[in-house]
Amino acid sequence: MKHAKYKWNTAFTVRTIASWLVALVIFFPIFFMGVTAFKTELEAIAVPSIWSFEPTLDNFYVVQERSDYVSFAINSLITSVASTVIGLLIAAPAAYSMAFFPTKRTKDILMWMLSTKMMPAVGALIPIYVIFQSMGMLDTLGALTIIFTLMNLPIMVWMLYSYFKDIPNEILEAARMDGAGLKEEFRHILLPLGIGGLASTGLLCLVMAWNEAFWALNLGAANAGTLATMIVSYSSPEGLFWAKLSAASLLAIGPIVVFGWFCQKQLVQGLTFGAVK
Amino acid sequence: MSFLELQKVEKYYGDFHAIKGIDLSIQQGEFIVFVGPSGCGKSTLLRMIAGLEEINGGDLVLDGKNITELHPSKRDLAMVFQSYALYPHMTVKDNMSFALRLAKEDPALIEEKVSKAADKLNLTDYLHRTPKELSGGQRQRVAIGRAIVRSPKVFLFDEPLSNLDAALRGQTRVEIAHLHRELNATSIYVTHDQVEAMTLADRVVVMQAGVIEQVGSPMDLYERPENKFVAQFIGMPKMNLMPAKVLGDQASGAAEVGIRPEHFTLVAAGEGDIQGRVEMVEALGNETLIHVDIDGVDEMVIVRQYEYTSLRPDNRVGIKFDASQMHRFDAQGQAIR
Amino acid sequence: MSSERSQSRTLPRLLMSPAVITLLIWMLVPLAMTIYFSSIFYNLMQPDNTGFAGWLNYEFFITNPAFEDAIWNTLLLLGSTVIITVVLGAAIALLINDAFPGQAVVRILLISPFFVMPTVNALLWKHMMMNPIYGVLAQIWTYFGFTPINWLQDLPLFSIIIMISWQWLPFAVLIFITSLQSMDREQLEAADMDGANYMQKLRYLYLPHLARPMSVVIMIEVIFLLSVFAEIFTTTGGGPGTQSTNLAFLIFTEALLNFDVGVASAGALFAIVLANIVAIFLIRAIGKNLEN
Repeated sequence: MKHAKYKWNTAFTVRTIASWLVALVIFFPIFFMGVTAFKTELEAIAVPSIWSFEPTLDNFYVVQERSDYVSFAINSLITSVASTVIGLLIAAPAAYSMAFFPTKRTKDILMWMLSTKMMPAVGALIPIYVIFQSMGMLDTLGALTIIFTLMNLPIMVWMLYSYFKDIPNEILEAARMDGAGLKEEFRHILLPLGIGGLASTGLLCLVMAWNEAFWALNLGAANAGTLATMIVSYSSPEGLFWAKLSAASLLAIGPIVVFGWFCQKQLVQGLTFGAVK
Repeated sequence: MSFLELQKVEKYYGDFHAIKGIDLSIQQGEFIVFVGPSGCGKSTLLRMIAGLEEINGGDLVLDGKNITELHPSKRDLAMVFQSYALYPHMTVKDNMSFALRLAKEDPALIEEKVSKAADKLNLTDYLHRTPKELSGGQRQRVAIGRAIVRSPKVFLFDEPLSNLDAALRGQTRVEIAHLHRELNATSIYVTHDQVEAMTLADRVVVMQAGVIEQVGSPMDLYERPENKFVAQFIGMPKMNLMPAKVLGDQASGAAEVGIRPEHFTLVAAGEGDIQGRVEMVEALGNETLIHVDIDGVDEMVIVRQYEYTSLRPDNRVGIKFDASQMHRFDAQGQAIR
Repeated sequence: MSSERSQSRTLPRLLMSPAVITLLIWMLVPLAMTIYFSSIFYNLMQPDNTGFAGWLNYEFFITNPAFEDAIWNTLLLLGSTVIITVVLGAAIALLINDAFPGQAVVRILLISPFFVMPTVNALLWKHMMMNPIYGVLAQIWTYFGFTPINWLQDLPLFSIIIMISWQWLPFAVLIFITSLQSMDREQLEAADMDGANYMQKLRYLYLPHLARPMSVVIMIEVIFLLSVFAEIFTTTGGGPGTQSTNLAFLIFTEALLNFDVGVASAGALFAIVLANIVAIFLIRAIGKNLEN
């Protein structure tokens, strides 16, 4: 007799239906927005909402034309990618050193690094603003990149440290016995074994930098605006704009939401600083 | 001049004196086993020889060269780790050829050495697998193969068999002994299992709390232990230790007396040198162990014999011993010859 | 002892230094400057007014009628969001913990809101959900025969709370699910054999196990939520009046709208102190985990 995978009694059925219901309700706003992006403006504000319509790509074109989506997207891309790469370059050696050459102070230093992430952004707003203003760097991509790097650095160090610690020390010792100096150790062992960790950490930080709104709104709006700021310009415009807003939003969040699906585990590790296993 | 020499080697962890001035001379071709209870420092000593732990005092001389400060990669030693430490992302072939590739040896030569070693270890069919596709025993052999391929001056083994099941352990033990002879190697082997020590070693180094208690061939240690610790560490079941008064003046001047279980004979109650009451009988098939509670002292001894026994717990029994096999120890636990 | 030992000390230090130095600067410089600014007169609108201000900036910040509202709103925002996300989050996590068809998809759907940009989040709700005429919620309300609520006008803070909770609920769910997955199966089996029903297992096994992640979620949320800004900026602008102004927004107003750097800095220090208090507890929890 073939054994069923699930036991379908009442409790199970209720649970399954309830779970799906909750998930659909929570996801609904995103779904609604996604659908609206393909409607015309009139269809978009129709009450009650229309569910069968002919999809159109017009909104996407208008968004690009009117607010130059592409240049904002490029800014978002540059700042997220640059800050992630720079962050990894700074964080990886530190994480390596703490994982493989721990001292009595290593744990304290790690804790201290994490604590810098706990400072509320608003606490640094004024000094940073003043500093960048005096350097003429307000509203530049460079400023945003620096800030994003700083914000994500503690998380990167922490996560890379965890990944490196998962590499058994004995493997590195075996490599040393086999004649590997530091360079060879890095190239043949650490890099291949650690690349997974580097990639997922990078992905998580990319997502967080992309979504960053506080600094983007405060430090740069015109030239260095990211997608976060572009969306704000849709906040109270004239005329009908829902469909376009949806299109713009979809373009802004689309890839990131998908990336996010792939870094669930890293999110838990990274944002709780490992306090939850 | 010995091949590998430890001269007053010391190790500190902070204030903890882990290795206390060890002297040891090892000849080329010897199979040396470091044995001792957990925490005695045997693994630490091995790792110090390997270069994975720093030597805080004294010198380490290999083939005439002082290697105390040398990086592990430059000492020409190979180590087989307890957990095998195979490179998980490399195939068996790459694992075994790694050191040679780092040394930029001729690829044809590397190929030859690897296939020879794989052949010796029955790994030829597995050369293209990765470690996670191998069983424990196979991984063990890859770890050994990785060491063989390098033809090092000394092989170091850090409890290589402890992660294997009992059957595999016995088999691999024999293979290691065989390889050592075939390769004319010099090997240092760490274990907590005294059976491995007794069967593999040319000489055994018994350690406790950072010092060497005794060095000698297995039989030397078994028949002529220099102190109580060695006497009781080597031999299974443990040597029976009794206060001297149990044997009266036969003990002549000793504080404690030791007799191995096989040197006791059971006789009828009332006869023999010692009287007691049977506490437990363990019939193992090839031998029988009888636990006897000795009269007059709070001591239990174990008697070993090949024959089955009809004795039962609470039976009274007499014990005779072979006086020539008696080990006498003074109050400090040192053997009195 | 030798060159080897000193060599093995400098290399790790060298590797760590970029990260340590960078973070040190990032931590000390803004802090020092904020403290400095908070103690002097520094208003970009009144460049002639300079000099040591002592505690005046703090006084001014506190006596600002908006201050009380801001603190109150901040606490309300924090408290409500935390309660909603933790309670609902735990409930949902427990609901979807055991396997059922489509569990993976459900999980993905539930997690998505967290990855939506805060500004998109804000506008999404402002226009599509909460618009009193065209919004989805309005449609639902009229369907049931009620007058639609003008969310952002009449219940500004509550609207913000809804937005933030929607965004952070997935975070709580994800954390709790991760924690539940690591629960000792054998413990649950033993309870089954002891005849425990679900409510009993909930009370004696599940909830105690979740206590630790709950405290972590609460602490993390508090730290991040103290700085809620984008949503307020994009939707209510702190209003109407100060009904949805929180501490972060108030500081922003002082600094970038009123250009009073001195007062704003005083406010910022408030926020920093608040955050640090929570951070101390969080660090201790993490530290304990690092021991394992």
